Amino acid sequence: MTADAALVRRCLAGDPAACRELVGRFTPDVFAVCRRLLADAHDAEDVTQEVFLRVFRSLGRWDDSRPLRPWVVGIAVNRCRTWVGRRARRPELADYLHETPDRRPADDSAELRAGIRDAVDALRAEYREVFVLFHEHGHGYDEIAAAVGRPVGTVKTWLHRARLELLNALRARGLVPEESAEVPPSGGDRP
Amino acid sequence: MTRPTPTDDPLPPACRATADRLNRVLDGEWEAASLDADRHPAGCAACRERVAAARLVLSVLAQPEPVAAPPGLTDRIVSAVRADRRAQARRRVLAFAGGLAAAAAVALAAWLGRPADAPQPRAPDVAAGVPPAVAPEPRAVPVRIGEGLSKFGQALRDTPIGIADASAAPRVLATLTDALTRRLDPAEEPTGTTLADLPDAARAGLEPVTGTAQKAFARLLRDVGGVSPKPKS
Ligand SMILES: [Zn+2]
Repeated sequence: MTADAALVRRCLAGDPAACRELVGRFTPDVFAVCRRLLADAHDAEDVTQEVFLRVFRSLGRWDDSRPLRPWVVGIAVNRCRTWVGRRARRPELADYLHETPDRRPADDSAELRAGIRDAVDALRAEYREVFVLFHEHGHGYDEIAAAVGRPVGTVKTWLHRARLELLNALRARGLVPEESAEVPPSGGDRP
Repeated sequence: MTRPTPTDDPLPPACRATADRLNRVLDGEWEAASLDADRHPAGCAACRERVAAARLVLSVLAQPEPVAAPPGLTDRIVSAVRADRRAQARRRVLAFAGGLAAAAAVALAAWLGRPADAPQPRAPDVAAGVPPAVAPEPRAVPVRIGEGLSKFGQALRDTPIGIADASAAPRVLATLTDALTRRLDPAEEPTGTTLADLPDAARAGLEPVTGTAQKAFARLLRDVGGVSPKPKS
């Protein structure tokens, strides 16, 4: 039995220590994903809690031959999608989002970071989700495929198109320096 | 490597190899230095800009912004999860107990309402020329009870704490025995034993059952409630 499966079994048996261990293990991941996809700390906190209620309600249906993290992250991505959909019907909240302090760039690198983030946010939902999971949260293709419930090939196609759209958007926003040769190459490894 | 079909590829064919190379670098398969080996961007302004943009993205993503969960969030979530589990367990136990009480009451009412002076099961015959006082609806009754009970059985099996759980079992038994002993008490006035008077707890217990089963039970209660109970002297 995997460590994940053993932990889940203890949770299902009602072991409070196991429940705390599971929440403690995944809260940083889930909160980070929610924080990024929702762009609001309060919403992220609410949705993170909602995610864990879902996780424990459906824990009995988790396939114990699969890793737990992508399953939990998948629930987080789903809840964020639902939340964003609800929020889109309340325009006053969307306006408020653009005034959160961390949207205001402090210097050039922050401006660049904010520019990239805005361009990522402008991608269609599934492109944005796979981009964020891969590039900002270090999930591999297999994990993302499990999280969004699509084949690896589909996830790759989405991510490749997402990148191309992003690069074109950065060009259109004038964020790309004129003389590309002067930009020092930085490590090509994923974070 | 996934490659869009020519019809939905937003790139000119000449730029495709450069885009694939960018994706391999962004996938982490190839070093960023491999971008320098590509000759195409030298003659293509769009690809030159794409390569520059990719380098920017790589440099920014190489230093991810740390996101820390707020202090105390884990504790709040653990409390919320426990409260939620308790509430769920309570609902399931109520559904089970309410369902069984309802089924027991139905069976009892049917038993009380059976014609005392008609020992033959075929007694209400159409040959008598008198239309039957009760619609043929109750014939479907056993099936519905079975349906309802199977739902309660499922709710029971789904209960995470298990119905055999030491804390839950006495409550379930108490609820059931209460309902049964109250109804079977020979001292009680039998005329009050119609299902229209079904205890609220039993009705509330039906709440989590799906609409169909709930409707079936509502009809059942109405139908059987319409049968006038006869005291078994
Ligand atoms: Zn080109």
